[in-house]
Amino acid sequence: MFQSRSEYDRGVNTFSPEGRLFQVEYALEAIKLGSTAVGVQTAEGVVIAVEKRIPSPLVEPRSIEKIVEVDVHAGAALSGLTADARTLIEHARREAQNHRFHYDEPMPVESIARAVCDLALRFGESGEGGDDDDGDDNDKNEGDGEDDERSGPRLSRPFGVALLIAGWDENGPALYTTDPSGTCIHWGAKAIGAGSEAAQNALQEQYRRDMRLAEAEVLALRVLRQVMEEKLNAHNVEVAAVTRTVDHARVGQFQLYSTERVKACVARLPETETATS
Amino acid sequence: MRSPHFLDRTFAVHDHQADRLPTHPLHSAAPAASQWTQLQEAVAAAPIRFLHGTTTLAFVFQHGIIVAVDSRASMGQYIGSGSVRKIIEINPYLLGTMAGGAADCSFWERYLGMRCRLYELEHKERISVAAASKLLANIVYRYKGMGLSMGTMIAGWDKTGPQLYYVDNDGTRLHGKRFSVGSGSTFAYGVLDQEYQWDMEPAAAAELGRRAVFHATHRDAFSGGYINVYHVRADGWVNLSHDDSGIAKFREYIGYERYVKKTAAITQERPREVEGEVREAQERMAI
Amino acid sequence: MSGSNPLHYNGGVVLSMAGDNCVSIASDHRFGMSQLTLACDAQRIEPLHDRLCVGLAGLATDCTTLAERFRYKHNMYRLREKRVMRPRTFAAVASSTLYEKRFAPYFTEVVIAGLELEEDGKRGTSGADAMTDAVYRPYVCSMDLLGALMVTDNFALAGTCAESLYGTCETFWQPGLDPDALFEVTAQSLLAALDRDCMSGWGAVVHVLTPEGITTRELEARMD
Repeated sequence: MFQSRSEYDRGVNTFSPEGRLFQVEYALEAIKLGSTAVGVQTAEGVVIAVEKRIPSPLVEPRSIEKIVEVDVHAGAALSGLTADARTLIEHARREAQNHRFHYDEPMPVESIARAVCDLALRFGESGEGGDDDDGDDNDKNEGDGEDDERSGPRLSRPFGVALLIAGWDENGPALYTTDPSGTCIHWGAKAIGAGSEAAQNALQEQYRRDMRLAEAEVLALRVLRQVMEEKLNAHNVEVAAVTRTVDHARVGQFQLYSTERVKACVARLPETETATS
Repeated sequence: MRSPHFLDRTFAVHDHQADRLPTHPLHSAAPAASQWTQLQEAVAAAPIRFLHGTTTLAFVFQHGIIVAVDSRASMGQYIGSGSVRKIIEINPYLLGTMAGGAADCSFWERYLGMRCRLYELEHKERISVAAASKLLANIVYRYKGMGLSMGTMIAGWDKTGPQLYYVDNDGTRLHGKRFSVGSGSTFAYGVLDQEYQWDMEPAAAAELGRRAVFHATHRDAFSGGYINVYHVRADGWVNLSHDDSGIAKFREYIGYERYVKKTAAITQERPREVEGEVREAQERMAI
Repeated sequence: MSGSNPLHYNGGVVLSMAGDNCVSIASDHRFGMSQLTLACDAQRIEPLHDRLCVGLAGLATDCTTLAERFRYKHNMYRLREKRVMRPRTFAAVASSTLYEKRFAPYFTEVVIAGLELEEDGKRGTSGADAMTDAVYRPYVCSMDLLGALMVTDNFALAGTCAESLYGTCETFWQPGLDPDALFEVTAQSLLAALDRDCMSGWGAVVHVLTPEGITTRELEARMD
């Protein structure tokens, strides 16, 4: 067994005889080192909450970003190698804007998630070969460099990050996950990252499809509190929600919670639970 | 909410090649040297100039920027449309105007809007008008000589206050207080330069823009239709008015009396004796 | 476009329509140089007598020259013959005047509107009876800048928005229009077409010729 591993776990584009891609599996392991992120979908909107590990009291908490806006109607929580996430998020934003440009409508959340997954598996040893999906090779006259390369220099390994994508499109609320294997799944409630196993169990017990958004906020934070090592407070978590806009049921609005708003959510948590964890 | 069976749905492979915008929105690569002369000849032989008849103007004053335009789209001397929206709402605090090729202007200004949004997501603040206009100027410069046709003004309000830029297909980018673009621009400048003052009130400024465009639509055959006026303010732009530059506006600004006493009934214009002669002749000939 | 074709340099359009016992002739008032509008009081219709008008569209300088030549020729005819020209006589004159300049033409298209007595043979009949009982037939024709004559029984037109005008006229015209209806149809056809043309407009006029005389009405049009 060990023998076959060392043979097959180097190349990112070679299956092992058992039909496994070890590099991808290792990347999935990297997610399990990442901070925990929880997402809860309700009919009123989707809540995402992430643990923000602050390595030192000297760190400015605001500079650690775990939840980002993708477009007006969608946002994402990150877990894993957040540096890798930058590329994925950049890609997702670009796809979302391209969609608006071409179709004059918000990009469906499913499509955003799938666009991220398209990129997830686009790694490999050969950077050249030019299959950079535009079908044209006009890099020559991109001289001024003000356009970022759309596919850019290819990453030689899988991305070590998973995303929890929350959004609201014409079909209503949506919560998707993407991971390094390029798998893209729609969830009612989902946890990713270090504490995901315990958190997912907790979600499975406590999640109901008919929850209100306020209940979802509490659920997400309670689950997070259970799996976090530090004591949860308004500074070491990030929370965001995507809800429908007031005037239109088919248009969503992403909103990253301010510290005050997070504080208010934390205040609503029941005191007792700490004991049960 | 989506139904649970959604979870085990397999995703169809989506053909992104077809509908994806590449780094450059235009899929065509720059022409090879051998094709270049051919392209230039083609561009010269069949210039595409759909909106060349146009009056657009914008000016900065103490309360922001007034942008006023006509709405005629001429194809040669034919009026393709009398109700074109020549002010492009790039985003809630940036406006672009349209002169030259309608497709070129609307496509690239929409593209600019997209780039501005990406900038916003990345930097968590609004793009400056200077940067936005530079972005557009750089884009069109790359297509220089390939037949793009656009003369546009980018107006907006950023940290530095109200800002106005002129950008055209040559790659020209000018910062200024007053611009007018299009075949009717000379007439508009005439009115604008005469009446413009920095410390106008918004209503007076809007009226000046409206009147300048009206006079241009009156004198310029290729301008006309409706007069659209926008005001760029600190909290974004607002659409102030959409007026028919037809008979009512003509009455208001110029007045029919100056023109309409012309055609007297033509039978009375002729000398009496001719009248008599004609009658005689007609009676005789019974024509 | 308007720069290269002298016929379109100054802009303008003329339209004539046949009705029942009446005929109309109308034009816009724009005088321009390419896209610049210089004046809004151009007159393109020349009355030759109570039952004959000629409209000229094209290069303004040639229109003026031709109008004067037509008047000159009509006056000479009237003095020599002691009668005015019948519309079709005048059409022949206009046509040959244009063709005279076959190789350096006037850049002018001509529209003629007139009333022609129905019974040519009864010319000798005397007195008022003949006048009152007389039935007039509308005569409408147009010709190109070389003088190719085209006589029609519905409408004739020339000028910068001829294409649009054909469309509106085909839509609005019908046989047997009385003078009021004829005015309405002529005015609406003209105004609709003017709204689709850069080079003409800025006011318009409609003359309706009936056996009783000519009625002239000014139209308010868009001034842009």
